[in-house]
Amino acid sequence: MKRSRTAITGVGLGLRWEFIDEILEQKPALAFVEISPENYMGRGGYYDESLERAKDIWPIVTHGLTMSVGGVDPLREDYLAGLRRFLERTGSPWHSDHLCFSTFGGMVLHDLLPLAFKRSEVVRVADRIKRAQDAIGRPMAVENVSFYLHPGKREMTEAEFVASVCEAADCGLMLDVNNAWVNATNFGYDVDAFMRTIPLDRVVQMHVAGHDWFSEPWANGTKDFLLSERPTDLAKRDGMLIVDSHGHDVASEVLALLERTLEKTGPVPVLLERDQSIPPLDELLAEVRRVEAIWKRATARHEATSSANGTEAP
Amino acid sequence: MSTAAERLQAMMAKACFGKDADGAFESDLAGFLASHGVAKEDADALLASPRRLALYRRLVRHNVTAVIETMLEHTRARLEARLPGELDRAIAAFLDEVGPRTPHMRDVPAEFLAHVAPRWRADARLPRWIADYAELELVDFTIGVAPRPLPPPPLAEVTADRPLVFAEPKRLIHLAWAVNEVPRDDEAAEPAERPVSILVYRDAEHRSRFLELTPLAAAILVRLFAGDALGEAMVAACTAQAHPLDDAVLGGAARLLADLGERGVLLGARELL
Repeated sequence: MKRSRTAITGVGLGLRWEFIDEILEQKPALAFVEISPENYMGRGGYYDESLERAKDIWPIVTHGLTMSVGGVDPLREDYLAGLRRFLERTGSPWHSDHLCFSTFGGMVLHDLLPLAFKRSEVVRVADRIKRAQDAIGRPMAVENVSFYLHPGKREMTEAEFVASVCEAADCGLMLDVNNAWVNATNFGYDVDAFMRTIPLDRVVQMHVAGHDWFSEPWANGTKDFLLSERPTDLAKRDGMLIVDSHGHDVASEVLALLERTLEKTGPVPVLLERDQSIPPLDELLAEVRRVEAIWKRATARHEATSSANGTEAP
Repeated sequence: MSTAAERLQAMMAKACFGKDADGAFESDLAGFLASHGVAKEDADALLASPRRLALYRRLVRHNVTAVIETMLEHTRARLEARLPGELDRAIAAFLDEVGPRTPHMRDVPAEFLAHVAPRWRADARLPRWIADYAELELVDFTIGVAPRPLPPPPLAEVTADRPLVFAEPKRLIHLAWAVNEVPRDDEAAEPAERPVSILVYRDAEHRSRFLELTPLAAAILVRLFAGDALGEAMVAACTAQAHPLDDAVLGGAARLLADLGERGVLLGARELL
């Protein structure tokens, strides 16, 4: 699925129960909101009512948590059927989930576990995405996840793996800019090279979020990963690991990467995610406005460049 | 024969949920990987980040454990006071032997309790009432955070031939111990051993409330909640309880319905089509 212009653009916010009453009351200007179907499917009453109220205020896009597109368990037909009905109801133009596995042997791990970057995995996972896409009757986008180990021989880079899966499945890419930066920093590769390799023309939406720094057990002398301060000099981060926590404001490096990426993609919708240590709503909305300022600046530069070149890039 | 992907995912799942798997992969990661049939070329990649399996184990277990501990906070306190570490051990056994099956995190504590309750009831080291206590606490939490209801259907006057309409959320549970009488902030308190039927509902201030019912009142409400008309529910309940449907029962039912009305649980009757 190559990106086409949709009605949804600008900067949105992930809708969370911690502030749902307040935000539905305030109705702040947001380009869109994102919801996780798992939080609404199979629930009635207030959940239904909140969803209907949100639909009347903002466009909605959906972002799933448990499809397990990279899993080896069969795709769950009942889940996909329920998701299809839910997507018809919300009118989400696409549905995204994570390029990872989260189920095994009938168990749901409730986290995002990494896949091996292998050619055989590209074929296997792309086939599952195509089948899921058919089952839900809507274009799908897969998100690049944060990972902390390579669970198998690495036959290609992360960017090549993401690109290959998207091409083979002909699906969209939910580009998580924070995850890209976290992985590049943890594994010591060039995040701009990552951005040059992934198919930017397939990016239907981007995510930005905050992260946490931990010291590795071998570096802190304990048996555990310990929450730490961000190093003042990123070059001196030996013994440190960044974990995608969605528990802080977006780091300045991630915002800078977002700006560079938006200059290339043009006006792709961007979502701010916050799941831990959620601040008061006005602080969260202030962060949305900061991301929005970057979005406007970067997309204006993209338009100017495209006009000067007489092209629409990429 | 399993594929490389199946073997790798089986290994990762075991590393996250397996009992004592952390000890196994920390003392001998190469041996742990080999025991799961992980090919040498894949094992080499994993051996390059030797402590990171422990991180995944921590992240995955934290998510599941946190939701169980949140929803069973007071059960945990009572277990800690009597058999320290028991909830952690029970969660570890649940993850190792069964694991979450639901795609909805909110439903994991119920799966956990279904697994552990029979063991807790059979464990002589634990108070015999702890499973009942946990069950009530889980229902209490569930009712407390359950979605607010949509407006009820058009209501009619309560008559014997009409089904009744109740406010949601609500649950009627039956326990062997009067755990509803145990003060929450008194961890040493012990409940009386007697069968109880408890209606758990939420009041106008969104606090969950308990109402203990007589066996006959519970039998009537079970049928009313199932959609029986008031008269049918009372006849069936009296038959099941071998109780004559006399003036005392009629008077008691009237008082029960009036009480439920005052509590905001009974809204009225459904209009007949």
